[in-house]
Amino acid sequence: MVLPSDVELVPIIEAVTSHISRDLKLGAEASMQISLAVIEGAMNAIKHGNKYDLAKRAYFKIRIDADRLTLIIKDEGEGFDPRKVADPLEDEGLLRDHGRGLLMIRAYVDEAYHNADGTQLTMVKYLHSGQPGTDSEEDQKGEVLEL
Amino acid sequence: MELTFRKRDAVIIFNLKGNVIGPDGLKLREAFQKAIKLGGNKVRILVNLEATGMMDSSALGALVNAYTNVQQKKGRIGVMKASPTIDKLLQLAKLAPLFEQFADENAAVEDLSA
Repeated sequence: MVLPSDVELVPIIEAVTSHISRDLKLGAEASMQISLAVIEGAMNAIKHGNKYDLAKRAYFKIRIDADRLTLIIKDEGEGFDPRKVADPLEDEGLLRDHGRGLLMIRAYVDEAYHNADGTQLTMVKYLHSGQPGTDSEEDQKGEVLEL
Repeated sequence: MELTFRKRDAVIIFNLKGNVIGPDGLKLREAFQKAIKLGGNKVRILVNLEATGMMDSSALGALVNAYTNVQQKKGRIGVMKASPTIDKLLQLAKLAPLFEQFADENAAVEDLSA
């Protein structure tokens, strides 16, 4: 799925993600965590990546494997270094009225990482408790949804 | 998100219904700012989260912004009936101690009006 950089469209992404979670029969809590991680990733891509520039797009992909759900969000911004993002849990960050998106993403999915220039976020939610096993050839054929 | 607010005694009560996600955070922030302006000094705010589903970081930011503004007016802000999910989110962000927690509206209004 490709969307212009309009935060009003973020609920669409949430609705699609929620639908997939339902199809996969994930529990209510896991579904909500996935939805919130996608919302945060989408908001970051639109606000901080594309800086609300409607000419720029945000790209969403979901890959479903036997043991995991992978969500990829890419923006057309200049990128950033996630290591330089202020920690919202430090004393001076607690009363900041922004900057908790990455905290939520990291709390709600099992893996979250950016590409080298910070323009693409990959989030992985394991579909069963614990670490997923090593990918078998079969697993790697997982379904990729170009949303 | 559906947002309504009303005044009961000295307390401005916000009712949030549905998910508070994406663009809702900005709308919530603006509504808080309007209410705090109307409430004047020692403004008292109660946020009823009973019918609130998901809340994202923009909504959290709006709550923190409201807390800061209420503090500047020497007022008080509390939340009511937060779901376990929202409660966990407040804990995760270490924001739970900022907001007085109430189980029902009568008790909240009585306490905040004191």
